[in-house]
Amino acid sequence: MKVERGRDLAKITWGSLAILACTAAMAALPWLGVTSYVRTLVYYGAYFLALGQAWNLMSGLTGYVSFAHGALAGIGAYAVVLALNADLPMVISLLIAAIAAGLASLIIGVTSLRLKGTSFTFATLFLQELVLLLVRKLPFAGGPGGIVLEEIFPLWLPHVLMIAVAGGATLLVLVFRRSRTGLRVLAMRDDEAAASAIGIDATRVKIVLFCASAAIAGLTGAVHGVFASSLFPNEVFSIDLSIIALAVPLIGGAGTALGPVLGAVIYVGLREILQVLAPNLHLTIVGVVLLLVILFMRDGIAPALGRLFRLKDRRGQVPAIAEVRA
Amino acid sequence: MTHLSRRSVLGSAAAVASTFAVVKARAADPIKFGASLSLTGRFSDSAKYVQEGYLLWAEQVNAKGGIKGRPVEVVIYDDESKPDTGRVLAERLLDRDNVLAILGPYSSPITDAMATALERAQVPMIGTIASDSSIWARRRLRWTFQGFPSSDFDHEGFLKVIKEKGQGSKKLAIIFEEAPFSIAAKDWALPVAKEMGLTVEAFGYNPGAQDFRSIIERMIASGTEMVSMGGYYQPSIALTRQMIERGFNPVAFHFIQAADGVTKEALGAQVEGVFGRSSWEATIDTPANKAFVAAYQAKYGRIPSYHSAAAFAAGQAFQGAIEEKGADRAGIREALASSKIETVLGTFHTNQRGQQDGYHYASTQWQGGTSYVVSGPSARAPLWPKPKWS
Amino acid sequence: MTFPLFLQLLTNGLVVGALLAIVALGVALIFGVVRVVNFAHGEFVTLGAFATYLVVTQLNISPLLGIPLAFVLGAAVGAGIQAAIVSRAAGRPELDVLMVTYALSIIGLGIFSSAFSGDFRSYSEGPSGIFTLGSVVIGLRSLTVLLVCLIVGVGTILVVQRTRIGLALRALAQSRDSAAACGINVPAAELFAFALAVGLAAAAGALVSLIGTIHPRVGHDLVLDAFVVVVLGGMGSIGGAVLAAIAIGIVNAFTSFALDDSWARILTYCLLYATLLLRPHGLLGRHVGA
Repeated sequence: MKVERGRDLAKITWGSLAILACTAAMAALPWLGVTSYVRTLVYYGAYFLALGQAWNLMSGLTGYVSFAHGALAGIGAYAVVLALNADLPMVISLLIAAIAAGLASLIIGVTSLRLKGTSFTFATLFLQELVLLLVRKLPFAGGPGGIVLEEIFPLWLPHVLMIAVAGGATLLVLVFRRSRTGLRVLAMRDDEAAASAIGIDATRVKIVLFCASAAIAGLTGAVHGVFASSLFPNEVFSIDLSIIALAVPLIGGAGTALGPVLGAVIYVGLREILQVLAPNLHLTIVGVVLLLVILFMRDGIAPALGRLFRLKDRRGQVPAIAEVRA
Repeated sequence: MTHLSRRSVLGSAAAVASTFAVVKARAADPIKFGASLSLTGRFSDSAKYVQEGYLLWAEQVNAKGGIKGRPVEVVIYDDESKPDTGRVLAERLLDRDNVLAILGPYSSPITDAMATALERAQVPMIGTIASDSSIWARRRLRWTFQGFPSSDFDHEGFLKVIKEKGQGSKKLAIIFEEAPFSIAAKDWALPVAKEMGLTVEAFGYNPGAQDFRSIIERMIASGTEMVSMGGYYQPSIALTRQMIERGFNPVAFHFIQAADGVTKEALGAQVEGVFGRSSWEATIDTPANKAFVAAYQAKYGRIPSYHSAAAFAAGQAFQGAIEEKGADRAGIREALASSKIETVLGTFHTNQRGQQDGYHYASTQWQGGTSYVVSGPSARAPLWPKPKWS
Repeated sequence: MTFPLFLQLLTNGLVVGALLAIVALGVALIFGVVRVVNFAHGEFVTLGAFATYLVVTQLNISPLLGIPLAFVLGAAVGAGIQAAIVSRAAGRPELDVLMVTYALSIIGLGIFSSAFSGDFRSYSEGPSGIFTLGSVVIGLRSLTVLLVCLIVGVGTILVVQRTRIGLALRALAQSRDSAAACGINVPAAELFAFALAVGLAAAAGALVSLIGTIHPRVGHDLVLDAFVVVVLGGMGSIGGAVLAAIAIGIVNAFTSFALDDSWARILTYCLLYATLLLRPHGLLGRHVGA
């Protein structure tokens, strides 16, 4: 046990250092003379990663599938543009965006998290539609024409912010899933009845986790709002973003900290390559990759690769299940 | 595990970087134009026609020795009907493909998204199919120009026909989609119609709606005589079919997309007497237009749609600008902002905000299985009232 | 509101509701028996719509014949997908199974988008004309939809309630373990349920092509409404789904008349969240064992 804790601590430390180093390097890109095309790709990688980690924090760890993360990000984007246009400072505006998304998540959380996973999934699925309809009807949100950020910020600002959010979210997932509460949540995913028998208030834990996850999604959407600077409701609240939010961690490895990183790189890379090779088949191929990963790798590419390597390292020793999960 | 993941991340990054170097090394002798089109997704039907127009334009220019002796090349990518993809593609076209200027994408949100990127990079773009004037109204765009008649005037032609023909009819219903272009057109038409002494009611519907039966009941209940539908093609067809099914026979019926050839396929004989509005018609009797139609038919084997014509016109506008000011971005911008350039759509000219004011819509009507222009000189007389649904 | 207007709106709502009911019936059947939320259900509707479109425009066959053809095609495709893909995920955590059908949905959407582009298609063949009953006007196409939905819906419910295989399905819906213990061939029963439900979806697609326009997202849009209906009707309850579908169709017709269709949808979703909060087992549902 002691040994395990020690190894865990080492993993957290080294993992955190690696994440911080990567974050710093990526954030410095605008000043390193790389072309704006590469910067844009890195930016979108970070955007999808941040969204994927937000999803991962809730759905990856609890097994409750959310289709709302695109909508939550959209709420953040709207909130930040409205706040900035009201001349609030950037930090306060971003904070408002995170809180707005967190509050919206409570509607879903309170109505459906007492119930089984399917109810939650449906409740999240419908949020997308409901928010879209409401935004189109609300005059202060610009109606169907959407809203424009009055001040166009220099590109390095959303770039640095997005990298920071993605790095921060990855760090959070890495540390949280090895914390005491994190381990309980994982136990809950595997057997909710048993977990509540040993005194975990499953509903409360899930609501808090979903709220935190929504706040990160809101923050991500807010930064993207600054980047895009022009919002159309039909685009901001389209289901596509929710698909990316779950495809990225699922392909890479849901419930792990590094899976979504791998997933985001694969997703952005695949998209760019298919753009040239088979533009018509992009959606189909993303679907096929997702299907193959779920059917044959179960918990994603990163853990599968991890197993492969560990088996080699130990010359055929079969790793314990707990270890594979970790 | 940590170790391996990191390595594979670096591995793929290196692979991406090396492809770049190869592409960048190529020389750029031709004048390159870039386009991001929605070849898949929501807008792919129309975007395909736009692509054909661009390619035909490039082919025609090159067959005649290029622009100022330099051949033309058009690089086209698929934005999947998503603005986010459009943003990445704008950077890709500028950085990797070194294009001089951008031929516009299909939908308003994507035009808007790319325009933002191009304002930063100071690259000119023509919004080829961007009928939606609100893109230029919501913010000041210095580098993007509208290359299509403005959607604000969607109902204008029909109102003119009513003025001429519809003496006895007073009750008009305008149906609009809750989308910026459709709302702007409705807002333009309401006061004009009231000025004409008509009683107007406006009915909004949700984008993507299939069921218009309740709107039809409301029109019947309020005694509507004339209907003008300002939404996209698919809801317009759904509305028409449900009007037929309900046996609701207005005196005159107009939907903005009706001039499309596929309308006849969808509605069969019921299409008789339906009004539309057209940015361009294959029958327009100018030498330049005849040559375009003939070349298009030779290449693709069918009559071009207005999408292809607008795409061809966008190319011609760039060509005119380059011939006037040279292959230089600032010069092109200047020419597009001030000059008059003849294209197959008419005379390209933009106002202070970059909105198109040179091109205009014509009114059309289906008569005996063909869509004819019924406004302007040498036009056919409109059929009024519309024959009842058969 | 006059009485004839009331009747007309009621009829209009009934047509929309009946079509929705057939789609929702399939979703509920799969959810009840196979324990899968079939996110790909909408793509099977699209499949039926495109199949009918091709049959009508390429082979000059009546769209009325397209309906049974779409059903058979759907059932075959459904059986194949259940056997080859969905059954592989059986017994895995909920997230996995959900994602399998979700991935199938993305694949389907991608295939339709690239094969047919985003074009809106429709055909003018098939029944046309108007049927009048008192003051109520109903198009022959809508009447066809209504009648076919009635036949198919009643037929399906009879199969589930009155036949041996229906008994197996109901047993499976109640308890998987006991059903297996009673000697029910679980994989076969699941295969049947999936094939039947997908057949229904494809038939619904054929009907959609008759009264609407066809495009790659046509089923995707419809199935979201079907999910609303399934939740309202009590998940997995076939009768509940049918009743909720018809109720939603009628309520929407009236709300759209009084306000507009955006508000009608907003109201529907608010009703949905209220139902989840107050009556989590559906408006009509009882608590059926896990």
